[in-house]
This record gives sequence, C-alpha cells and structure tokens, in this order.
Amino acid sequence: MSSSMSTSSRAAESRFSALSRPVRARWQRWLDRRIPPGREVVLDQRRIFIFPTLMGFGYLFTAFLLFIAGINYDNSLILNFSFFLGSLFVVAILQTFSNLSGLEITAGTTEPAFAGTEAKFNLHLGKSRRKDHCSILLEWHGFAAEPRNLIDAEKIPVQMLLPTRNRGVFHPERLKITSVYPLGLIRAWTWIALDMECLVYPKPVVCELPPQAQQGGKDGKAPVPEGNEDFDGLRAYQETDSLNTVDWKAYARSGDLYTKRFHGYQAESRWLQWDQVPAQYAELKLSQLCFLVLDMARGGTPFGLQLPGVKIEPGSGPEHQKRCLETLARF
Amino acid sequence: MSQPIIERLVKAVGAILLGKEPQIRLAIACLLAKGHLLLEDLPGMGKTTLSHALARVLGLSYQRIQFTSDLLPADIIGTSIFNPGSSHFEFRKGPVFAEVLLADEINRATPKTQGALLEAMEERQVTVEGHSYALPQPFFVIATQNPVTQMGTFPLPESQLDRFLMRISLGYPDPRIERELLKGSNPRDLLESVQAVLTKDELSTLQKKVDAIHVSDALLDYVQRILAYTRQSNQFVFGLSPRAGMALVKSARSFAMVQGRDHVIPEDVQAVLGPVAEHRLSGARDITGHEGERLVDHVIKHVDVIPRR
Amino acid sequence: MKAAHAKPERDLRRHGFPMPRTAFVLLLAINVLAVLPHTERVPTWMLLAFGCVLLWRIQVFRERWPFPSKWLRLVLVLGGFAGVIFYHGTVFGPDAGVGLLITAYLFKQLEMATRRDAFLVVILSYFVLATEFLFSRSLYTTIYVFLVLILITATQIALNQSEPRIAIARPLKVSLKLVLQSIPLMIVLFYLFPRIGPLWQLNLNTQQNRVGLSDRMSPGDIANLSRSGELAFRAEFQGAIPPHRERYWRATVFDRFDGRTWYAVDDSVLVPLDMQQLEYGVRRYQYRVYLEPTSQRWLMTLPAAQVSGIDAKSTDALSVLAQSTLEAAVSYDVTSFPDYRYQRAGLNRLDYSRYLQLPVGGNEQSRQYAREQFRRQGSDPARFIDSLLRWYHDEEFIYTLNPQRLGRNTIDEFLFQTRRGYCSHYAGAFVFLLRSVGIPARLVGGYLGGEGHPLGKYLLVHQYDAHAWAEVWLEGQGWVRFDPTGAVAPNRIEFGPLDSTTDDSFLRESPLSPERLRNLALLAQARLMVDYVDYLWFKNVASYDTEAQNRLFRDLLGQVTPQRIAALVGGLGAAIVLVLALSILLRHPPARKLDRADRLYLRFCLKLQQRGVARAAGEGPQDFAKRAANTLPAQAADIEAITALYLNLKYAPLQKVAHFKPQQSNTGDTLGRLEKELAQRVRAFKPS
Repeated sequence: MSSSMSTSSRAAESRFSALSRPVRARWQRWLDRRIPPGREVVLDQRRIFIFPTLMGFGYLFTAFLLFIAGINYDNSLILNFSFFLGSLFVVAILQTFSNLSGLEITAGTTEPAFAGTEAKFNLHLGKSRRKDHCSILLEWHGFAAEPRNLIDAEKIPVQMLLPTRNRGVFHPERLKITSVYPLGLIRAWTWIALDMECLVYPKPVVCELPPQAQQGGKDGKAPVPEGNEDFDGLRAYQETDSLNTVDWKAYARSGDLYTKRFHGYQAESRWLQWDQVPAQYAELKLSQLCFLVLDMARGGTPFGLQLPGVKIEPGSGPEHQKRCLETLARF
Repeated sequence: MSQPIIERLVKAVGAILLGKEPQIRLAIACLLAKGHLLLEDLPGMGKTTLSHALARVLGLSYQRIQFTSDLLPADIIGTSIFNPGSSHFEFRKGPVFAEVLLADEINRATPKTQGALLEAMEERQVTVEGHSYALPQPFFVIATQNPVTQMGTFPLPESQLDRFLMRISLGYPDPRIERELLKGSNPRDLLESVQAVLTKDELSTLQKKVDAIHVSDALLDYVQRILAYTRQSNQFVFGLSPRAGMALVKSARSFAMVQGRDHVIPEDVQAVLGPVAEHRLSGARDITGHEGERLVDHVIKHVDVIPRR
Repeated sequence: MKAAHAKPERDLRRHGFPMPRTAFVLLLAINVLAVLPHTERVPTWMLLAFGCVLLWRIQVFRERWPFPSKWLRLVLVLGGFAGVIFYHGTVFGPDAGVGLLITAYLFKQLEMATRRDAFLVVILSYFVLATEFLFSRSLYTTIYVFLVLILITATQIALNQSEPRIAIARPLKVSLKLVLQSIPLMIVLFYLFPRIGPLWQLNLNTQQNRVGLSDRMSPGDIANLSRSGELAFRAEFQGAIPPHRERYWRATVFDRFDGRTWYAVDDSVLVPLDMQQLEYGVRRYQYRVYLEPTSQRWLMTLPAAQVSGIDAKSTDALSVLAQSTLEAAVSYDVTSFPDYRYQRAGLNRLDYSRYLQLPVGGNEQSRQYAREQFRRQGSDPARFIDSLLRWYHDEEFIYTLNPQRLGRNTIDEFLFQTRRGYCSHYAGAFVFLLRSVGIPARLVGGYLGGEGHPLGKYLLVHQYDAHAWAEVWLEGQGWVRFDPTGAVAPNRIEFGPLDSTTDDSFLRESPLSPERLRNLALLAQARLMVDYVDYLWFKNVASYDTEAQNRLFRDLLGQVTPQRIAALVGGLGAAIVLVLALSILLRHPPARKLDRADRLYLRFCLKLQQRGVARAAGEGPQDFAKRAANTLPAQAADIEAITALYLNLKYAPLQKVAHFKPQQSNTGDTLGRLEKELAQRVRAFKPS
C-alpha cells in the first residue's frame, strides 16, 4: 500500500512542479489572499471553485444531442427532455456547491512522526449550518482519505496520514476538499490552508552508544559529597549540625548523638553529545542521536542531550523523551 | 461589603511594593481562593518583599524558610526527637506549621525536599512516623523561585507545579517607580510598619464569598473554548487539564471579587489565565519551559470572547 | 478511529469499483423501466436476451459469475446489431434506431464495472427514455418518463454517495427534490427558449403497424378497425359543433377497384383543388384538429376544408394532404363549409374514366342486377340510387362487424348470398353498382361521428368511428355524398357505432374496452376526465411549436424583436436561477444559533468597526469599551451603557439583572426587557 501511495505522491508533485516557479508563487499568493490560512475554516462562496466533471460534460453533450433531436424531429417533448436535463444541471451546480458550503474544517492535533514514516493529522469536519454534507473527499499531497459523510453527526473526526520525508517542522500544502455529490456532474472543490504543522523527528539510525556517555557512578551519576538524596552513614554529632539530622532512633537506643550523613547526585552525568556520535554529517548525527535517545529512553536511564547551542538537562520519562526528540527535530 | 477591605489590603501591600498593583491584586486573589502562590523572578525584584507584606497584611502567623541544596525534608516538616526525660519521641513541628509559609528560592532545594513541601501543600497535613499532624487553617505557601536557567537549581517538576494556583512574575518596575525606589528607603525596612488589615474571621468570610461569585453559562462557555483550544492547537504539547480548568474558574471568581464585582466577566478570566495556566502549559516550541507567557497571549488572541455563528 | 487512508480514486477506477448495492438495484430498475414502453417495437428475442443479460449482471454483482470475456461481449453486441438490422430490414428510421440503441444499452450492462460505465448506462437510459416520445406524446407517457427520470437521478445520487449501504429511500428523496427544483426552469425554457426549425430533413418512416385507415380497403378492413378504442384525433370547435350526421371526417378517396380491394387515389396523381369549381355555401365550422400519428399524409377534415397552421395541400378529391407522412401527432386549424358544391360544371375526361373504372370481369351477377335496375328506373341516376338504397333497407341486409368471409366475387357474394356486412361492404358494393351503369362514383374513407366531451367543446374521434361511404357525381349537382350504411343501420349515422349494428357484434372482442365500460356511468366519467386532461396536455404542451411560441411572444411582448425575446428569456431564466440559488443556499439555518444579546453586541461592534475601532477576537467587552471610549470620547457614555447592558445580560447573576427593574419578579421578562433595551440602544447607536 505504501509503495503505491508514494508513487502517486511523486506523480502529484511532479505535476505541481511542472508549473513554472513564478506562476506557482503567484498562484499561492492569490490563494492566500482569497483563502487565508486559519485553524478553523468555514467554506463559503469565496472559497469554493466549481467546474463540470468529465461526466458533466458527457451529460451536457447528451442534453445537446437530445436538443438537436427535438428540433429535427420537431418533437417538443424531446426538446423538453433536453431542457429538463439542462435545468437539472443547473440545480446540480447549486446543490454541489451547497454540499460543500457551510462545511467547517477545524485543525486538530498532529502526531509527530519519524522521517520516512507517516505523520498523523487530526481534523474535524463540522456543520456550520443545519444541513448534511455528503461524500466529502479530503486530499492532501495527492493522498485521499475515504469520502466522508456528515449526515446525522454534528462533527466527525478525520485522520489523515501523510508520509514525511525530511526532519523538521512539516507544513503540509493546502488541503484539497472535493465533492461531486449529488450527481457527479459538477466538481466543487477548495484548497484550504490549515494552520497546522507536524514535527518530524530524524529517522533513527542505529549506532553504538559512545563510551563517554557510559561513565559515572550509580546509574551513571557522579556522587557529590553533600546532599540529601541517599543515606550515606552516620558520624558523631557536632554542635553545628541541625537537630533534624540527628539520628534520634540511635539516640534512643544508645544515648549517643549521631548525625545522619547524606550525599546527593550530580544531576548531569549521562550525556548524549553532538561531538560523540560517530557520524560525520549533521543530519546523520541527528539521526543517530535520535536512535540513542529512543534507546536510552527505552532503558529508562536518565540522560541529557547536548547539541551545539542547546542543552537539555538529564531526565527521564516520556515527556523528557519527547522534549529531546523535538529538539533534534527542530535543530 | 467586602470591597473596602480588599481595597485596604491592596493599598497596604501597594505601599510596600510600589507600582505593582496588578500583581498584588492577582496575589491577593490567589490567596483568597485558598491557593498557593509561586512568585517567579530574578533575585532582587521584590518577591520576598511581596510575600512578607502579604503575610503581614493578612494578619497571619508566618514562617520563612530559605531553601538550600542541603535542606532536608525534616527541616521543613519537623522531626520526632527523643526526649530522654519522658523516654518518648516528641514531634517537633517544623516551620511548615505556620499559617503562611514563605518558601524562598524553592528551586534551590533538592527534589526530595521540594516534594515534602509540595505534599504538605496538597494534603494540608503532615505525616511523620505514622502520625498525621494537621496544618493550621488557613494555610498558604508563598514560594519564590528563580528562573530555572539559573545555575545550581532543581526545577520543580511539572507535575508539582500545578499545586500552585498561580505563578506570578513581578518584572522590572517602570522607570518612574524605580526612581522613587532609588530615592527612597529600602522597602524591606517598611515591612515592620505594616499592620494587619484583616482578622482571621474576616479572611475566612472573604474566602467563603469567593464561591458566591456568579459564573454565568456564557462565561463557562468561554472557559471551555479556551480549554478546548489548548487541547486542539498544535501550539501546545499538552492541553490544560480539567484541574487547570477548575483552577482557572476559581481564580477568575476570586479575581472578580478583588475587582469588586459579584460576577465574573471574560476580562477576569483573561487576567488570571497567564498566572494560572502559564506554568501548566508547555508549548510545542517551548524547550526551555519559558514560552508559556507568549502562549497564553496566543490563546487569548485566538479564542473569541463572543462565540461566532 | 479507523485509519482513513484510502486508495486514490485513480486506483479504484483501474481495479473496479465496488458498486453500491442501492445503486445497482436502481440501475436494474431503470433498465427495465426504460425499455418497458418499447417492448412492442423490439423483436421478442431481444426481450429474452435482455432478461438473460440482467440475470448475468445480477450474478456478477453477487460475485457468482465473472463478467463475460471481451470477445464474447463483442460477438454478442455485433450479433445483437445484426439481429436488429435483419428484423427491421434497415438501419434507418426510429424503429431500427431504437432497436440498435436498446441493443447497445442491453450489452453495456455486461461491462458495467466502473463508475464511468455506470454513468454511461445512465446516459443511455436518457436516450432510450427520450425516444419513447417519438412514438407517444401523451400526458401519461410524459408522466411515466418523469417518474423514470426521478429514478435515474436517484441512481446517479446512489452512485455518487460514499456509504456502501444506504436505504433506497434516501437517494429517492434527494432525487425527488432535485427533479422538483429543476421543473420551474425547465418550464420557462420549454415555453420561451427560442425554437428553431429542423436543421436537416429527417425521414421518419416507421414500419410500425399503426391502427388506422390504410390506403387500401378490402371487405372487413374497417370492421377490424372498429374493434379498436384508440383515439384517432380530437377536434376542438369554435362555435357550433356539427350534428352527428354531418360529422363525415374525410381522409381519402378510393378510386380503383380490383374486384376485391379498393385502392386509395395515389397522392401523386391528385391535382390541387380547383377553386373555380368550388362553391362554399353559407354555413361554416371552425375547429382545430389534434391528429394522432397515422403514418399517412391525410389530414382529417370535414369537406370542403381550408386548412391552416400546417404545410398542407387541398386536392381535388377534397382531401387534404400533409407534406409528409405523419409520424408524430400534429395539429391544424380548419374552416369547413358543409354546404359546398364541387365540380357542378362537369368532370374532366380523366376524372370521368377514373371514377368509372371497374375490373374487366367478375361480379357478373351484380353488374347484371345494376343494369336491370337502372333500366327499370328509366336510366335516371337519382331514381336508381334511391332504388338501391331502398333495396338495402328492405331486403334482409344485416349491419355487422362479423361478416362472413367472402370468396372470389366479393360483391356478388355479399349482395346475393351473405348479406351481412359493415360499412365498407355496403359502400363498396354501392359504388360498384353505380359504376356498372356508368355513373361516376367513388368510395370515401374516413371517420363518422365523434364523441362530444362534456368538459370541452371538442369531439373525440376513435378508431372505431372509422367509416366508409360513397360519393356520386350527378349532373348539375357535382359530387353528392350517399351513405348506404344509413339505409341498413340508420343509428350509425345518427348516433355512432355503438348499438348501431343490427347484431351485437360491436367491439365484442374486447370485453374491457371503453365501449363496454361506457355503460358504467362513473367509469365513463373517469374515462372522459382522463381524456380531457390528455387533451389539455396535447393542446397546450405536446403540440407547442414554433408557431405557438410566436403567438405567445406576441401576447407577452407585443412587438417581437430578438432583443425583447432575449430580455424575456434571460430575465425570467435568471430570476428563476436566482430564486433557486437562494432557496438552496440560504435555506439552512446556522447550526449554532447565536444568542440575541451576542448578536446585538456584534452589531454594535460592527458599527464601531465602521468607525475604525475594531474589536480584536480576544478582546473582552470591557477592555474594548475602554479603548473605544478613548478613541470616540463623544460616544463614551453610549459605549459604556451598551457594554454594561451586554455584560449584565451575559455574565451577571439573575437576581442582579432583576434589580434593574425591581418591581418585576419574573426574571425571564426582565431579561427580555434588558434585551429590548440593548436592542434599542444598539439601533440608536450612531458613532460619528
């Protein structure tokens, strides 16, 4: 499935790039003026384009042939038949238009992806007017979601999976919304720019954990003498010690005052560092760091990430992992 | 009417901390909503002064703890000390057993110590060696912290940040006020002269009144639109939680009362949205944890006060 | 949530398209319904083939059978075409055309795999359906066609909606809506779209066997016709309707007799009516005839007729001929002069010989009888005719639809043996007898009578009114009509064929015919009603043509110029499209209704925006009021009052709202009053 999709995507792209660059730029500018980007778009007459489909032209030709037949056979009812087809065509234009107009598209969340995999874009289709919308086709970068109906529901979620290629922030092109409902004679469509973006993490590339990152004491942390994290032992009480640190249980047992000693851990110990990954090229470095971040996070060990100009303090948990991956994505 | 009292409170604190009336109002609103307050700013911006002044005008007993990296949990909540005379352990209450606890530079302590305080804040009681000791009523924590980018700090974990109802930054004073400061004496010296404005009963009456502040359906709609926006928008890693929503409404109520109104209007929500939501939101672009403010502006700008269509 | 990734439509087209069940059922239905009216025009084997193809297609849909292979399909289609051509003997003409169309339609089913194929079937359905109008233009055909059109439209809807299974009612409902919405524009186009003449001449010769008069008449032909209750034509009168005995609708004249069959005058030998020889007389009837297709050129008229409204020629046989055979219904205006006299001055030689023609031998007994009788009457034609009619009347002649079969000498056998016959027997024998003694005479074919309609001033003439009578040329009188049938069965002339036979043979073979049912009063009423509606339909719609349109334009526009026509058509069309657009696009109320206070407040904001103070989306009312009041100090009081009202309405507790009017305990009323006040203030608010 994915292979067929990528081919059609490439086809779509090459079709698009067939337009010369200035034409494309002007087209984009015109679109931006006419259909400004937003997070919530309600389709109205300014945004909807309309043109007959191939079938629509076939239908019109049929009406024309019947018109000629009606004239030549001097048959007013055949003539009327062709007038009916014409009128139905006009109604189809209005109905197809009406089927799209009032549709409300709301940008939802996106789910980040690793480069080369599919990013999930969540959208909502809703009604701004009390009418149904049928067979709405969403198309993005040449990929279509299956047609949607908004008949009883007020709002339905739509998830679009878009393949990603490069690391970074993925701003998809304009979303194309099409419908030929009810008669398939007219295509009504629009391109809307949704204020949506999706993070694309680097593609993880397997590599060895650099040796420097493995040094350290317990769990890779270097102990520091003073602190309150772990109990270290007892020593004789001194005048200046806080009463809170006196081991009162020992006192109760022995009558001697002892002070509990603790040590803490230095927070920076296990670091994934830019310079320490084997690859030469920046992108590959990022990919390897990405792999390492995932690897470390899977192991549950706290780690920090250091890139030129960016430093993330060590930590663990999904949130920390996410933060690291985002940093790699945006670097 | 409660209004004169509140105005007196604002005035009394304002006399100490010049030119910061909006922040003072927010801080008072936070305390009247029975919330803990986190003051965040660089050293020397008047955080401590504000917290002291607040404690004093509220007429409450207060304790101050300077957090350091070697501060132990026991230093806050207290310890059981063996009394050789009675051969019994006696609980020696720590500074947390105060009506107002000033936790200075809370992010200098280790997470373990911070955790002890935050637990006490949440439960409003302290458990030592299997015994529970209730904290006094009222009980406020006013914590101050330096921005986390400062060296030698342990940033509060996000899960614990939302124990604080509001996070307020004071910011630099404007030049006119700063000149006054430069001319005059150290505001800290004035602290001694501050008198309690409230009795304890008056305080609890005021706190009860917060719940009577009217919140209309239209306002709840607005709040829900804000919550939905933070959840739907890509600007945020995580949207606001239901707890954050409740904190927002409660703060808005309290702030409306501080503003002398018996009902909440959208401006109240907007005023408290920053202090309430900033430290609970992290933005998608936010790596350092410090774009919350910009994000809140974004939310206010994008969520229409009046529902369209 | 289900992963929403579908293959692009391009792929669907290649891999076949999962035909929605509803669409498939509808496609089958329109197949059957579009072909149904054509059943009598196509060979029986095609109907069988049609059934087989549908069965095959159903099996394909159920995934039991595969589609037939490409070669098999090719063979089937070519075989079908060949069969149709063989059956009709030609590829030209509507019958063969419709046959070929239906063949194509039929076999298209067997390759209906994609959405585009299904669409082609829909298009072909349109054609098959439209061709039905070549054969019938009645209201009921039109209603049928429109019902099928609703189904076709529903099929298209079912094809284009995306759910795999839907109730059939849904596309039908939408389709009905679309069709109804199309009708107003269609009506305007129908009446006002400028009609142009045929672009090229078409030969519309159908080989179809129409019920009606033919150009030859054997004994018993008209009797067969009399068993048909089909409508022949309608005549709508202005002024008086002629009495029954004057309703001799003339179609054609039969001049040649071969001993068994009479042949109509060849159209090509007929010369135009000789106006010099025609005396009109005083009385006249004016009427319009709506003639059903006959496949003949004859226009039914009451002689002597002046026809207008159609390209026709009056012949010296007093019949009127259209330019070409009538394959479709036509209508024309006629003025008739019942008291005419023609060719009183004399016949030319050619006519003389034509109307005295007899076969060389045969029917000797009749010739013998005529000669004797003529001599007995002193060779006076008038007395001779009289004696013949008396003979018919006095002898045991029986007027019946079921005459016995006649052998070689038909006249002899009829006159002297069987003596049972219908109008053509009596009239034919009468003309034969006259010609035998040298009196010019001819057989006239047409209709006698017509049923008056209670609702309109028109007559319905059915096929069973078909009649044959005689015309005799008498010295000094010209052509005189004699109806020998009247001598046998006078009722036929006075009242019509019903009960006029002297046995009970009339329409005996169709027990459910309208004639039987005519006895049931209620049904008779209903039948007349149905016919009346169809008559109105034909008069106002089906026969609407270029000339009728010109009349309409004259009535509507006064002076007819292309500009005026364009303005009328364009204006009316645009108006209808506009109304349609508004009703389709603006009919739906917003899904979320805005609170009245919000609406008013937004209007207030709009007014301020027009003064350059625009509220930002996230700006609260109070903040905005402050800013606006700063910008427009003159309006500060208004701005604050409106904002306060709005804030109170939306955000303040009810009891506080109630404080605005303390005497009012009902908060609902108070809210209403506040809203009203807000409305007034917003309306009155005019920022400068």
